[in-house]
Amino acid sequence: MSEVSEVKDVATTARVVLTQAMEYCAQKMQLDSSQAVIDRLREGDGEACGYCHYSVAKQVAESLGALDENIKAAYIYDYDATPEDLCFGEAGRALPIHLIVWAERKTAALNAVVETWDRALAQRYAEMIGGHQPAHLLDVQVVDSADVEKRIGYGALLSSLHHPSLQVWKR
Amino acid sequence: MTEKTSTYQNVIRQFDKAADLMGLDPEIRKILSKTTNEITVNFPVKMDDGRIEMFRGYRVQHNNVLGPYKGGLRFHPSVDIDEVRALATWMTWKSVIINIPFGGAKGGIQCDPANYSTRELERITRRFTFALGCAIGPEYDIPAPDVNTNAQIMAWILDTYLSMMPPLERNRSLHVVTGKPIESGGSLGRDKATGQGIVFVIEQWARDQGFDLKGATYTVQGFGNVGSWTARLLKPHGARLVAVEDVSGSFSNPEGLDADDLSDYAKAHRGRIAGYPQATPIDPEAIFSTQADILIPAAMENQITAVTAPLLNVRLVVEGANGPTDADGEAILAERGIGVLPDVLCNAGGVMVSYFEWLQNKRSEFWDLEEVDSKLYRKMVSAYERVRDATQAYDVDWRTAAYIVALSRLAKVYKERGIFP
Repeated sequence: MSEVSEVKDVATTARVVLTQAMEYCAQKMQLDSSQAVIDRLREGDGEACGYCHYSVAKQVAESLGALDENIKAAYIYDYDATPEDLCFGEAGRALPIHLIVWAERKTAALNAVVETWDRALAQRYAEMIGGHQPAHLLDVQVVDSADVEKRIGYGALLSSLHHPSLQVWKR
Repeated sequence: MTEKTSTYQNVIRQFDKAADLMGLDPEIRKILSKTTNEITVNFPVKMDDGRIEMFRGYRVQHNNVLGPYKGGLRFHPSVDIDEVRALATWMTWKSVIINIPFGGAKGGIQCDPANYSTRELERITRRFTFALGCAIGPEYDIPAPDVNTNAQIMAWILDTYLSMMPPLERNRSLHVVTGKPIESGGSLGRDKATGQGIVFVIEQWARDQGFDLKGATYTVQGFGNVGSWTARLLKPHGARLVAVEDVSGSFSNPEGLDADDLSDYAKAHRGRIAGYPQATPIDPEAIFSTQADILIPAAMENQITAVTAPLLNVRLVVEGANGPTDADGEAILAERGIGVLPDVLCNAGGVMVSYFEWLQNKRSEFWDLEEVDSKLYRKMVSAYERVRDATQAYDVDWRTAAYIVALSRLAKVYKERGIFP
């Protein structure tokens, strides 16, 4: 595991991640520019939020995976919804982005990297979108293989029937 | 990772347990242990870049003896026939327990929706609807939103389905899907429906037990839609929320947390309750060990297990989430004399209001919130009473009783109608 200090340019990387997320969203929604995406995000457009959140989650997961060989896979999930709730419409819109990271071991170093990412992304997000800085952009729950096998805590979501998570990265 | 088929096996295991206890007719058992139709379609869709991609979609119809098949449609890479089969079966039991005239179904398309543009998703949805053809219909099989699908996807299904109908039939077919936006025929009261149903069940249980909710204490695991609405709707009863957990941590206040204020705080803090000034952080597992009268797990499945069940310090568990108690956990709770009001009853408010939406569309009516609430109340109370009576008649736990209620009703209908030919 690399030390947190090695993530020295995380602020710059956070800007790149968010920029790429805007571009991904623009492509998916066939919008003219990232500015159009920002406008949609300011309006609280659920579809734009969904695509941006997915892209941010994917990029963060890839980055964590590259930093830490201990990580096996990463998933996003909609914390706020049960299958019935999903009928009510607003799935995937609200921040923070909920990410489950499946690692061989839960380490303090991984938690520290995640916190660094979260702070940097929240700050950059506020700069790009405007308004108050969100307290958190990421909610990362780390599970180990025992959690997944025994379906303990968030480990249960990886094989959930009613509330499945979506894999965004795998080693 | 645990094999997903184990959940389907659990559905069948629960079915077998109830069937054994009630002495279900073996012939009826044969019928109900199988799905009626399992439709798998492979269909091509043109991508934005001109490529053709093949998709696989499923629609499993478990049983329609009481009414049209009804169940969600999900988009997820892990969707497979076993998963859809299990969920379709689950929907049959749920509809029967709450006594709505629907059968059970479920569907899905094996895809990661985030990988596709909006236009591609529209084409995937429309092509799947076309491939299903007359396998869905307002009086035959009614899809609804589920994981990764929403009101927009329902609108595309509706439009495609109507386009395949003769013009004179179109206005009579608007109720082919539920889960529509309110302005397009959705029902009022959906946002709080699941939480409202849970509170109606708790009210009835308290009345039966001679238990005064005023001053009663409860804890909530999960403060999303279900957890927060349940807490807000319990507040007027004078019950005290003494501990709550969400993704940001576990928090307590023995004097009681104001659910409305906490909910407003969470909305202002991106859905999280961390930092709420009137609460003290506690250890994550303390949500289970906090002394209270009622625990409401409203987060996700598999929370009350062999590990956490021994920690519980309550007299009742009210399942707001689907499947929060596993078999080991349930056995421990039973040994300890802690009651469990099951998910299939408690969180049925959402499905119920989905039925109300279908009914309003079918009758060209639009009910006000008061009417939705009063009908929901009557339905939930009636469902509760049927399950309660079965617990006494068969001397079984509430979950098994709920299944017995479902199987008894289905068996009765089959016996009355007979089997053709």
